[in-house]
Amino acid sequence: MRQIQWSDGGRITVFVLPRQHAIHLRFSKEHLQMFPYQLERIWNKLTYSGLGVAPIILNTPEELLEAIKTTPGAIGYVEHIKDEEAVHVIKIKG
Amino acid sequence: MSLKSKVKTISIPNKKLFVVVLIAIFSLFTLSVKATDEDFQFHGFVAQGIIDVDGSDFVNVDGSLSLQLTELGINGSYQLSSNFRLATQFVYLNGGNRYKEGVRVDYALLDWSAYESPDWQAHIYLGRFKNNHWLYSSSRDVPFARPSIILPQSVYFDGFRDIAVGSDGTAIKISHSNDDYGDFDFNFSYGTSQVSDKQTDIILSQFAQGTVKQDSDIQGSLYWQPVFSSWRFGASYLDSDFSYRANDKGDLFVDGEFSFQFYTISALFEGEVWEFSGEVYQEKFTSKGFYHPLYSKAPLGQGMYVQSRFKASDKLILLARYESFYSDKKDKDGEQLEQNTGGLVPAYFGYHRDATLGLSYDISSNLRLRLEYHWFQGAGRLTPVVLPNPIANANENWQLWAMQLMYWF
Repeated sequence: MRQIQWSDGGRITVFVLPRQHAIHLRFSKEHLQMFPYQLERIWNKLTYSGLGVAPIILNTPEELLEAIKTTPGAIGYVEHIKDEEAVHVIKIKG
Repeated sequence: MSLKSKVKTISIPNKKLFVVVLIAIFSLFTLSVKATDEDFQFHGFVAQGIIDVDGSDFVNVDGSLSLQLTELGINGSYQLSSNFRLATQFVYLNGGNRYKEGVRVDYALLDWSAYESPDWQAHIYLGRFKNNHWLYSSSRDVPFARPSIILPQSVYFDGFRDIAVGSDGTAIKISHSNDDYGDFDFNFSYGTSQVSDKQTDIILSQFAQGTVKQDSDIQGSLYWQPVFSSWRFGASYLDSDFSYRANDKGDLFVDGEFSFQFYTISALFEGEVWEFSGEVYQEKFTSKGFYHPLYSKAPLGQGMYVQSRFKASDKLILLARYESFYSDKKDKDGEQLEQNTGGLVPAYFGYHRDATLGLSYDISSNLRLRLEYHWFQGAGRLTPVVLPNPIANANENWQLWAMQLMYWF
């Protein structure tokens, strides 16, 4: 969770959906074991105290997927995916 | 290796039939130094409120309804390379008598990611950095990131804000994640802060014509969150030295030295609807000289607050808090203080208590309205600190209500 670089030294750019989004809520609670408000607090602290860089919030899964496709070293989550080209997909079955 | 770590983190079994897809691109361009949109980040906030204090000069002397509850901030972060980042924030604050009004550089630093592995991360910050040692110290000026409009003054005393908020120097943050024992964060900082004339008036007195200099500020803290726990525990230490140089052209006071040591322990519980937090501390405030060359005193003060937040809905959070502080544990009711000053400083300047009720309502994801009411007892956290003002603060009991609207991006 706290890692900011890949093992090759490249930056990890994290994209997430807004805190009220159903996918963000489920991903936070079921897979990160955190409530969205906890993540938001950690990210606000990073952003407004200069300690680090928070994830970039995008409004829709489509925008998130597009951002990941066009950003080297990016990571994020969506519920379903049709076009797996140009991205590395890890499926999690709950 | 890092990918393994990610998969491990997110593949915790659960009963629901739900598929999440984690996506990553591995590209040779990752190490490119070309500036992208992600390298620059800009954020900010605007907050304006109204505040009414009855019975003290906490905000203003005449006790009228005040708009002196303004907080603006803008920050930028630029990723120079994989390991180096520049970050700065400017803020404008107007809190009436609480602290100096105006624009200031809140932080301006170089963040060096000195070591990085799946389990260990080390950052070194050079420049002006925020105090990251107490539960809310790094976000005390960020209206939506703190729990209330007015923070518990026993720990987050506005009279010390400009000195306690950060320093110019070096800070280190080391983080460790352990599958068996949880997450650990260690912070260390060394630096100094400039002490403005207004800050001198706030701490000492407007009659002090000399200059105050902070000679050093050393702080350390350790936080621990057990594995999959909703609890987080912390401890911190602060040691700060100041010197006062009397004005040669005439001063009521003489040269002096002040030293401030502050130890805290804290606990934070973050549940789905309930949240509890608290900090307990002891401080030692040593004064030598200043009043006269042979003066020396080092009282031990103690304080604590307990806070509860209840998430009544997705938009509404209710707050209840109680805090208590006394500046000398051998004189908890301030009687000795009154006797020693021949009655000039009333006993209630020896302590500070506050019961707070409040609420936060999210109008949208970036717009929040906050309301709160405080019932105070004592003047132990009013300014000036060293030479109190019993005329402006003639009441043991005083109250405050405030409402603030805040927007951030």
